[in-house]
Amino acid sequence: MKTRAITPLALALAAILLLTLGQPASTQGNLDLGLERIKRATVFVYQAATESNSLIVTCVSTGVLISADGLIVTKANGILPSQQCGGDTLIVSLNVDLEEPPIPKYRADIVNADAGLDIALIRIARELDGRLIAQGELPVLPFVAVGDSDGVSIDDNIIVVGYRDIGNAPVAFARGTVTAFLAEPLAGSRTWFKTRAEIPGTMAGGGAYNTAGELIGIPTSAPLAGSAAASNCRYLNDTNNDGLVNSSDRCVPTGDFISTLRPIALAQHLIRGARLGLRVDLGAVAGDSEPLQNPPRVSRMFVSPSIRGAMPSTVVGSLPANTRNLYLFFDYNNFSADTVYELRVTRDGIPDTTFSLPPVRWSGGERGLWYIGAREQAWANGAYEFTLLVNGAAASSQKIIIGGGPLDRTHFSDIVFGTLDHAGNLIGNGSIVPLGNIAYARFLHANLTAGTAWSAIWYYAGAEFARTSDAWTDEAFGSKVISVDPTGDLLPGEYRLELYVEGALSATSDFYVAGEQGSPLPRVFSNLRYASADSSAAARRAAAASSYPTAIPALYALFDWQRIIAGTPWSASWLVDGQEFFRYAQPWQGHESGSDFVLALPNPPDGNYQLQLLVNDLLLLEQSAVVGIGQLPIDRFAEFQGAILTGKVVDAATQQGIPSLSIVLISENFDASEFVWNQEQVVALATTDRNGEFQFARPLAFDTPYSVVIEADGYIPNFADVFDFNANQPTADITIEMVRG
Amino acid sequence: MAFETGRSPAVQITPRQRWSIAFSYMLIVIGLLLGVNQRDSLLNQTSVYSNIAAGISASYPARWLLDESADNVFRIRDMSHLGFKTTIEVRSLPVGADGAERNLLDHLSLQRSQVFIDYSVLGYDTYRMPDDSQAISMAYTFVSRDASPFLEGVSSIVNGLDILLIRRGQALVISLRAESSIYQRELATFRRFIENLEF
Repeated sequence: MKTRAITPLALALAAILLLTLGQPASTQGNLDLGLERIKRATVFVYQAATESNSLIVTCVSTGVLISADGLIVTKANGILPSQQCGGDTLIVSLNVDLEEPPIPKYRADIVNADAGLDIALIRIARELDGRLIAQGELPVLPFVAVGDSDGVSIDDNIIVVGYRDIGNAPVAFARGTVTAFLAEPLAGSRTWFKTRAEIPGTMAGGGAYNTAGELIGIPTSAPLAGSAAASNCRYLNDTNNDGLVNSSDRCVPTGDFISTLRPIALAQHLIRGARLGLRVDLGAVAGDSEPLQNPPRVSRMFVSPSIRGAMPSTVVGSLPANTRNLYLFFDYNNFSADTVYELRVTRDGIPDTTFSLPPVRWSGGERGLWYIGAREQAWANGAYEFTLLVNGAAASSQKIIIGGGPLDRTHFSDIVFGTLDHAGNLIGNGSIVPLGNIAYARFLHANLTAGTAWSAIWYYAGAEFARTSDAWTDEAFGSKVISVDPTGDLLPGEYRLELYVEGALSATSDFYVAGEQGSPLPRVFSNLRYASADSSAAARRAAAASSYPTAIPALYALFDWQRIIAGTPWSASWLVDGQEFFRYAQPWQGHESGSDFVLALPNPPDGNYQLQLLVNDLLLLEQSAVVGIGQLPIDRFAEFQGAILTGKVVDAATQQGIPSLSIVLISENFDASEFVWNQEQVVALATTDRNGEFQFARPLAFDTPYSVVIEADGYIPNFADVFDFNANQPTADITIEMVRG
Repeated sequence: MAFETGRSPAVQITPRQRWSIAFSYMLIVIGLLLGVNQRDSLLNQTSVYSNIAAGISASYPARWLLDESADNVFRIRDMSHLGFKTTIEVRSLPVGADGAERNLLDHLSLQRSQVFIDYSVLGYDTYRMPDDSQAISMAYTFVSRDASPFLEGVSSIVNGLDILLIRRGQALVISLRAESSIYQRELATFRRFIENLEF
């Protein structure tokens, strides 16, 4: 049973509790407290380059602390070294005073990033002067909870927090609502959130929060290289050493106002990998992609009312009233993560900001078919024009009318590819066909009348290789199977089928030929296995197993591959305990067939690991291995939500703060009287600064009775078994008096 | 106006009053002696640390905070000191077949130079252990500052002393770190600690 000791400290804490309990916990109060915590967790990041023995700012970002140990999520553009942002040092500024601009405090390292997603994870690793911060020595920093962006709905209220200026303004916030979801093949219907909140470019990389104060999105933008307009570029340094800071110097891009948020769900695998400290080494087999020589190109823009996988179901020239789904498709070529694209939408000549996509980084591959669209959202009637800009220049446009009644038009739709079984039925997954003699396609048709001219054109690697033109003889409605039988076997690679009615494109879809005949899926990958070794070479020789002891140096996954040609989109997804922490999605770059492709995972913690291999987003092979107990260690601290305790320790006689005094917070399992000065009993330590102020930056668990002990030379020891916090009291600021003795 | 001065008659105290006064003085003296004694016993009170796995036992000042969670064998800190908390630390290091004592100390210096502000080695010396064996010592200094970025932390100049000895293929480093203003005083505590250290 706990003994309650009545001391001055106890009285002070009790008074705080009474004051807090006496006030009704208003919703607004909670929001404000949540906002204060969010603001404290919001950081400003400078990317800087070392020039002539000094650091020159090259790019800036807002960022958000998402764990107490200094993990920050921000945008990748401005963090990753690039032509526009060529710095190699990341400086993190923290909010010491919420009414003042942030103060540079630390340096950070990049731990995970995806240039296409425009999301980066960086971790505070050094003091501002470059000294390493020893493990466990970083003070516990305020952080925000990562929320579920899949739970966001249209018209939900959000708050975006960041900085309105480059290091010269305190942290600020903008309120707004989610106005639309934009869809892309990267993540389907929730690839982007659109908002009308006024978000300056310097807030890019900061956080968008739901009403519960959880991080649900990252505002991102892509200031164009060379776009040095005064509105989105700032001259901060004398980069040409002419003694003046003017437009002759290199400027720091800030970007225009932002209206798009990247849902945090798309960054979960990056966050998980960074939190667990897991980095997958793809080795030399994957190779590095060479810089693209030709400029990006866009062609064949058309509209589809729905999608099948990432392909259009059909092609339309107009849509009826009450249209809720619309997808703008286009072919792209020579795109990379450095490519900036933008979609401008007008309705009856007036810009439609809801469905426009401001300049953002490319997140797809080098070439292929892409779409930008919206699902289950109302499109008002009118004449729409879609203009796609690539790197600031108009690349292609398309017009469509929305309005009027439903159309009973003649059309083809829903193309799927495969092979035929013995009974003559189309089998397969619809988008990958194994090597063989013949490829089959099945599609739906509607309102076809006998004698209607139709044609099918087959392409391989962008070049037509087969064409069928005929008059329609089948029924008006139904499905039809056609085939292509090229001279010789089907070669591995990218294929396309276009179906025309009366000379107009009516349906189109792409598929890949890869791998050998398998059942039911093509056998592109095989012999997926795990090994533990000290090196990739040793892993290739090591015996495969599915269970490994704790603390192995590295877990290697190896597999063989067959008949997959360079350029075929494939991906590897690595999961631990059922949650993805690594994803590699790039065109295949290796030989057409081979063995022992190696992925290395150094220092894997205990867990159940699973590697999935996909081609064209279709899961073809997966395999699991267990390390240690087969379950991740519980990181209670990472999920910790609680109260922040701050305060001041003063001399009772003089009321002056006592500097450099230590306050010991004892675990709920012990009273102050049971404290035997063992670290195991200590929850947290705080030391007063020169004003006597202290802060337990570590959040304290709600509804947990803590004890406090203070012993200081020249003062009577002070202790208390006093206080706990509830969810309505996320912060407390106390004053403790120490009596000389 | 004239003032008259005079001597008041002598006050006689009784023997009983005399004894009372003497007894009061005695009580005060006894109280003081007891207080001093109590203070000394409190100050010199020790706790015992024992680590069977590492084969180490030691006695250290009571009310110093014992920490076995770091990568050292153990660490004790005087949390009541205002300023840098005087720290005594015992850690074991692996020793290579060709590793010399100076190699180990240089290794420590390289590590510390990455994390301590203004870390500087002051010098090397020999140190005579209680069993008359010789150890090597390294004195150093650095600046310590409270790491919280949200407070106006006070910097302290810290002096440190490492005692390094190699026994049975394992190196033991016994370290003292104390604010430079009280370093000499804390050195006496450190010596007492080493005298009672068994490994």
